[in-house]
Amino acid sequence: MARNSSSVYVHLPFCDRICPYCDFAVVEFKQERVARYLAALHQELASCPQPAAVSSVYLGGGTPSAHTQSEIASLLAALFAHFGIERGSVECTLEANPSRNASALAGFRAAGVTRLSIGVQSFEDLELLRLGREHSARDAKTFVTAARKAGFANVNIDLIAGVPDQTSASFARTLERAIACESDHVSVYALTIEEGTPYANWFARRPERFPNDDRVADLLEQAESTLEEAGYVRYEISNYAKPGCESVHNLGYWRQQDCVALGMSASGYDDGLRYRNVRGFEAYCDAIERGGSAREDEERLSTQARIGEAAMLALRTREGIRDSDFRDRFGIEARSFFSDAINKCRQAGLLEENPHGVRLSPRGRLLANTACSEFLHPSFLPAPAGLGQTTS
Amino acid sequence: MSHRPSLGHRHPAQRVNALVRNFCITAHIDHGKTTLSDRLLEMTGALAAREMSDQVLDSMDLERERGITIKAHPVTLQYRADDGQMYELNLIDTPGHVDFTYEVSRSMSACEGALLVIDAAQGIEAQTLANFYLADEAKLEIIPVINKIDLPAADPEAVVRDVEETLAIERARCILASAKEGIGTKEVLEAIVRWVPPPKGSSDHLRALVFDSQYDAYRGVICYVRVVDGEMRSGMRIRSMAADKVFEVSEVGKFRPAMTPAEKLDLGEVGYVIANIKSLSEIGVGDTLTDAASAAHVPLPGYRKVTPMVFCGLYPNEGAEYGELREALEKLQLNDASLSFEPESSIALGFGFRCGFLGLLHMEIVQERLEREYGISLIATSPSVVYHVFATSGEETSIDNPAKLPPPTEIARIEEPYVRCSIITPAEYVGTVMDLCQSRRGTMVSMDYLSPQRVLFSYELPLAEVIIDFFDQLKSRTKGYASMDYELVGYREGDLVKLDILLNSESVDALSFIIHRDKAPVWGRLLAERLREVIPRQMFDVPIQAAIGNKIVARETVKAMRKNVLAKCYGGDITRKRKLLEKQKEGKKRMKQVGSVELPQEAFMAVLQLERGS
Repeated sequence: MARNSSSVYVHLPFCDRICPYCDFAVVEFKQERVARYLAALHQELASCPQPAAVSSVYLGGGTPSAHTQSEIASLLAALFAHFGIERGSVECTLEANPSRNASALAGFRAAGVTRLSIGVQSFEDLELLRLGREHSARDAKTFVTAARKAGFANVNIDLIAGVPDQTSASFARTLERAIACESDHVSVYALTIEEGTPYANWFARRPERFPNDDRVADLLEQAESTLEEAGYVRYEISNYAKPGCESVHNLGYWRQQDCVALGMSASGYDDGLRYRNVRGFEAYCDAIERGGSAREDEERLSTQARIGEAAMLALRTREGIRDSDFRDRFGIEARSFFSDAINKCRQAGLLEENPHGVRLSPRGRLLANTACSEFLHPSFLPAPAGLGQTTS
Repeated sequence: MSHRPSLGHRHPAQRVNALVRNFCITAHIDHGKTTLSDRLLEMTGALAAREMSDQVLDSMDLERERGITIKAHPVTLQYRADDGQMYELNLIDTPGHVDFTYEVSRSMSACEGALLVIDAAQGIEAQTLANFYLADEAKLEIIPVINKIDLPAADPEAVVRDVEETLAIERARCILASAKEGIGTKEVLEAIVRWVPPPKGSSDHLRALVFDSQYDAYRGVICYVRVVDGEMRSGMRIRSMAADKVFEVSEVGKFRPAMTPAEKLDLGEVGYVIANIKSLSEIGVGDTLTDAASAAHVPLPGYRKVTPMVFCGLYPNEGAEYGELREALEKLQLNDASLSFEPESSIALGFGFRCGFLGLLHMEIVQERLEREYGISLIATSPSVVYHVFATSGEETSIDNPAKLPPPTEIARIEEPYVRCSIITPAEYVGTVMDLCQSRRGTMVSMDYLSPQRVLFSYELPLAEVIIDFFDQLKSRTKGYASMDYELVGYREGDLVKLDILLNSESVDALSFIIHRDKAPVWGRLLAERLREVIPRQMFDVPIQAAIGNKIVARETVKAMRKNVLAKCYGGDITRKRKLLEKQKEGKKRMKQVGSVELPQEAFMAVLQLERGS
C-alpha cells in the first residue's frame, strides 16, 4: 500500500425517513435541500487539496442510493476529475437501502460505482418492522438480486445483532439468507442504543425486550461460526468477506490511512490530524456557501497518541498488530513498546501472540474495547533524564 | 452537667451591661430557624432585604444546600426597642441536627436566652425536646416561637398547649410567627429585650470564653468570643489560660454580620478577636482568654472534650493523593474541632486515615467537602463505632476499625456503645417503630403519649445499629413524620462477631464489619448479594464469600464479562471510537484495584444499604 494514498469519504445525509435507532447525521429527503447540499458538496470538493493517490471512494449516508442516477453520476464525475481517478480503477462504494431505486442500480454502476453496501439489517420481517425499516425481507432479497443483475461483483450486506426480541433461531435464518444471496461481504453490527434516539426511550421502558450483553455475545459468536463455515473470513471485528472481497476503504481506516472527508459530519485524517466537519445540515451549507471551511473539530495527534490509536485500530483486524508494520511506520518494536498492555491482555486471555505480532483471541474479539483501551495510552514514555522507564 | 460558665457569681466589682442581650436560636431541623434569623437581621437593618442572599447565616455552600446549619455563626444586631433604648442583640445560630448537639451546647454557653423555634404544623419534635433540655440545663431564658403559622396545616393553639404541658413554659411567653411572611418578628425582638436578662460580670480581670473559631488563610485563627468579665481591646496582650500562651490582640470586632472592627469588646458582649494565632492547636475552643498583665485566677468552665462516635476509613482513590488528603483533613480540622483522624493502612486500600465523626451526617459532610472542595476522589469504608475489647490476657483495647479485631480465641468479651434514643412519632406508626427498634436490638425504656396523636418513645439501642440506616428506615416507615435524637449512655457487653468478605478467596479487610452473632448469617447473605449487584463484571468470575471466622455463610459470583466491543460503524469517525474507549478507561480508573478485582466506591458502602429492599 502506498504510504501517501488516501481514501475519500463523502457523506450524503438524506433519508426517506429516520430509523429509530439511528444517530448518524441524517436529514429527511426534500428536493430543495438536496439541490442545496449537492451544490455545497461540489463547492467543498473544488477547494479540497489533492492527495498523491486515492485508493478508494465511499459514498455513505444517509441513503446515497436514494439519489437519482444523474446526481450520483455528476458527483462521481467531479470526484474522479478532481482526484485524477480513472473510473473503475479504485473501489467505489455506494451505500444502498433496499426499499427503493433498484431500477437505478445499473445507472449507478455506469456512473462508476463498483461496490454496493446494502442496509439489509435482517431477513426477518418482524425484526425489520421493529427496526423501523421500510423494506421487507423479500425486498432485500430482490434488491440483492437486482444488484447482481446490474453487474456488481462486490456486494455487501449489513446485518444487526441484538434487534429487540431477536433469537438465535431468527438470527440463524438471517445469516442463512445472507449466505444464500451469495453476498461477497457481510458486516455484522451489534445494536447500540444511542442517547436521544427513540430506541433509547424504548430501551428505558422495556429493557427486557433487548437482548442483553451475554445474548448479544452469543449472537456475535453465532455469526462468526456460521459465516466462517460458509467461507467468509472475519478480517475485522464487524466485517466478513469472501477471500479477495475485503473492503479497501474499511481497511484504510484500520490501517490509519489518510482519508479526505467531504460533506456534513464527515471525518477525515491527514497525516496525524483528525478532523470532522460540522454536523448540522444548515451549518454545513452556510459554512460552505460563505466560502469557508466546514471543519469543526480538529485534533493533532501526538506521536504517542498516533501509535496508541494505530494499535487500537490494528487490533480490530485479523492480522492484528504486526511487528514489521509498526517498525516501518513508527520505527518502534511494538512488543516492547506495548509490553504492559500485552501482558495484561494476555493474562486475561484477550490476546494471541504469533511470530509476526499479536492479535485478539476469540474472547478478545468480544472484549475488544477492554483490550484496545489498554493500548491507547502506552505507558512506555520517552523518559526524562534521570528517570527510568515508567510503569503504570 | 452544665457547659455554661457561671456568669453570676458574686464579685466586688460586679457590673451589668444593661443594653446587651445574648441569645441563640435553636430548633428541630426545618422548623425555620434560619429564616427567622434572616428576618431578625432584616428588621434590625443589619442587612437590607435586597442585599440578602436567602439565608445569610449559613455560610457554607453545603449548609445552604442541605438547609442545615453546621457551624454556629454569631451576628450583632442593633435594635431600638419600644422603650426607646438602643439595644445590642447578639444572635448565635446553632446547628439543627442530632450530630451537632455538642455545638449547640457550646453556643448556648455564650448566651442568657434561647429562642426555641417550633413548627406550627409539626409541633414539638425530638430535636425540639433535646434543645429544650440543653437550654434548660444551661439555665437560659427560653422563648418559644411558634413558626409557620401561615401554613394551611398550622395548628398554633395545639402547639401552644403542647409547650405548656410538655415543656412547662407559660403560654404568655409563646410568640406566634411566620418568619417567611415576616409575621411576629417585632414581637420576637421585644421578647428578647424583655425576657432575656442582660449580661452580668466582674468589671476587672478580663475573662472571655472562646466559643468557636475559624481559620482564615490570611489572618490566622479568628476566635469567636463572649466577654464574661472585664473588657478586651486591640493592642492588649492576652493569655489563653488552658494553652498558657500569650498573644497580642491585633483586632477586636463584631459581626454585623460582616466582621467589623471595634474599639473594644465590653463586658457581656460577643464578637471576634484576631491575635496572630497561627493554628487552632494554640488556642482551643472552650479556652478562656484573660489579660496577660492582670490575669484572672480561675478560668471559665470550658467544654468537655468532644468524642467522635462514628468512625470510618477514608482512602484516596489514587495512592498519590494521600498527601493531599492529609492536607485537606488538616484544613477541615482547623474549623471543625470535632473531626479526628489518624493514619491507618489497609491491605486492600493502601494508606489512608481512620476518621472520627460526631455522627453519620457529619461523616457525609466531611466526605462531600473533601471531594467537592478539595477535589479528592475518596474511598470510604462503612462506618463503625468504638468497641471495647477485653482480651483473655486481661488487656483492654478500643477498636474503631473492624479489621483490627483480634481473633475470637483471644477475646474474652466485647462491649459496644449504647445510646438512649428519643423518638417522637404519630400514634399510628407506633407498631412499625417498635418493630424497627426491636430488630435493632433495642430495649424500650418508656413510651408516653404526648397527646392522643403523638407518642414519645425512649429506647436503648446499640449505637452500631443506629448508625447503619436507622434514621432513613425510621423516616420511611413513618412517612417522614417521626423524629429522633440520641445520646450516649455507656458500654454494654454484646455477643459480637466479625463478618469478613472474601473476593476471589482473598479477605478484603476494608469490607469487614462487626455485628451481633445472631444477625451475622443473614447480613452476610444480604451483603454478598448486594456486592454482586454493585461489582461490575470483570475479566474473570469473581466469587464473593461472607465468612465468620472460617465458616462461609454466603456465596455469590459475579460472572465474567463477555462482551465489550464497539461493533458499530461510525462512518470512519475514529476519534469518536477512541473517545468512547478513553471514557471507559476513565471509568475504570475510578475503581479501586483490590487484589485482582476492581471495586467501585459503592462496594465499600454496600453495608449501609442492606435493609433497603430486604
